[in-house]
Amino acid sequence: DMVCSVAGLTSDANLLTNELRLIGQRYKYDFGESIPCEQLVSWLCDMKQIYTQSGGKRPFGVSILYMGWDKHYGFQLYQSDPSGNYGGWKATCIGNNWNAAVSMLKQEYKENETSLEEALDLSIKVLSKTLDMTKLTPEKIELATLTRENNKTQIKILPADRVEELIKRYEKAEAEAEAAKKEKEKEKSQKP
Amino acid sequence: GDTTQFAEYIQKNIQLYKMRNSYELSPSAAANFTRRNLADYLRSRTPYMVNLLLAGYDTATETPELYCMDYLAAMIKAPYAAHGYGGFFTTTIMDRHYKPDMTKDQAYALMVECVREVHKRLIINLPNFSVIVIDKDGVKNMDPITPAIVAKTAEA
Repeated sequence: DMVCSVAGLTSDANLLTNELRLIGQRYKYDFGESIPCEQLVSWLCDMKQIYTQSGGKRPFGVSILYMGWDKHYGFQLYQSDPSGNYGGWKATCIGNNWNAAVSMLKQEYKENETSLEEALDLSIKVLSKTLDMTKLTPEKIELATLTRENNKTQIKILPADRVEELIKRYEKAEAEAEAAKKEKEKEKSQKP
Repeated sequence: GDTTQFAEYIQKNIQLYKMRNSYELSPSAAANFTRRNLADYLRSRTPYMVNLLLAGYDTATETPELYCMDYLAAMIKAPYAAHGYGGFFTTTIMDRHYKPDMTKDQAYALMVECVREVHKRLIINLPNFSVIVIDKDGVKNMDPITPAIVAKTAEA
């Protein structure tokens, strides 16, 4: 019932994602049910912390975003970093230009008022403004959603046509916003 | 000996989980955990010879649950269950009279019927039986079933 997204050294990330899978499956083996979200994050972060304090080894150069659902706290989002510190979030960002992205989210994300569709639109908006590329295409990004349907967790990685649809919707909204802005400027300059 | 050792070990681990995570294990998770431990120890040098019944109330689904496990770590979730020689008799009684929508008092009466059968058919003398109820308000002891209560219910 969880997905994660990594940013940083991919080689380190692969080790951690493998470990996450082991942790999850071990819990299922012992208790017969999915691991609660925070426990999974906490366990991995305990591991990461060891590397910052003992052994003469270097920490994992990876930040991870965890998205999941459990019966105790419902939908949750967590972020962890190389220090092994983790926190719960409503919306956050990791990777290149995460500063710009997080400040954008702070302005635009409305707690308890943003629906899944609006969140997807917002993600596209934030990505296009913070990625170092001219145009956004489905091949350059990967979007995933986690929902609950019929008492089961549904995890979907959006197919290319769906992403294309979202990008087009965003570009249209941007164009309209630009046009509206231009109209306002014209009106202002025309005022005596 | 085994029953106490094993039961305490499981109980303390369940309490530890509660302390670490500030929420409790659901009855099914606790039962699976118990079964896993029993199964692992089975193929070690120190197996536990314990048959057990595990009952709990799942606050998420708001239903009570009963799990029956034998010393070989075979487990099943069931509406009613019994272990031992007495189980041979009581299981049939419950087969006949159990209903999913029984009240607490009806269930207690069914227990009295089971004890009557055990008193009648088992060569070992076991006069008194304790009765424990688990519901949304927790674990409570009901009146123990004594030979007097068995006799009184027979007249009714």
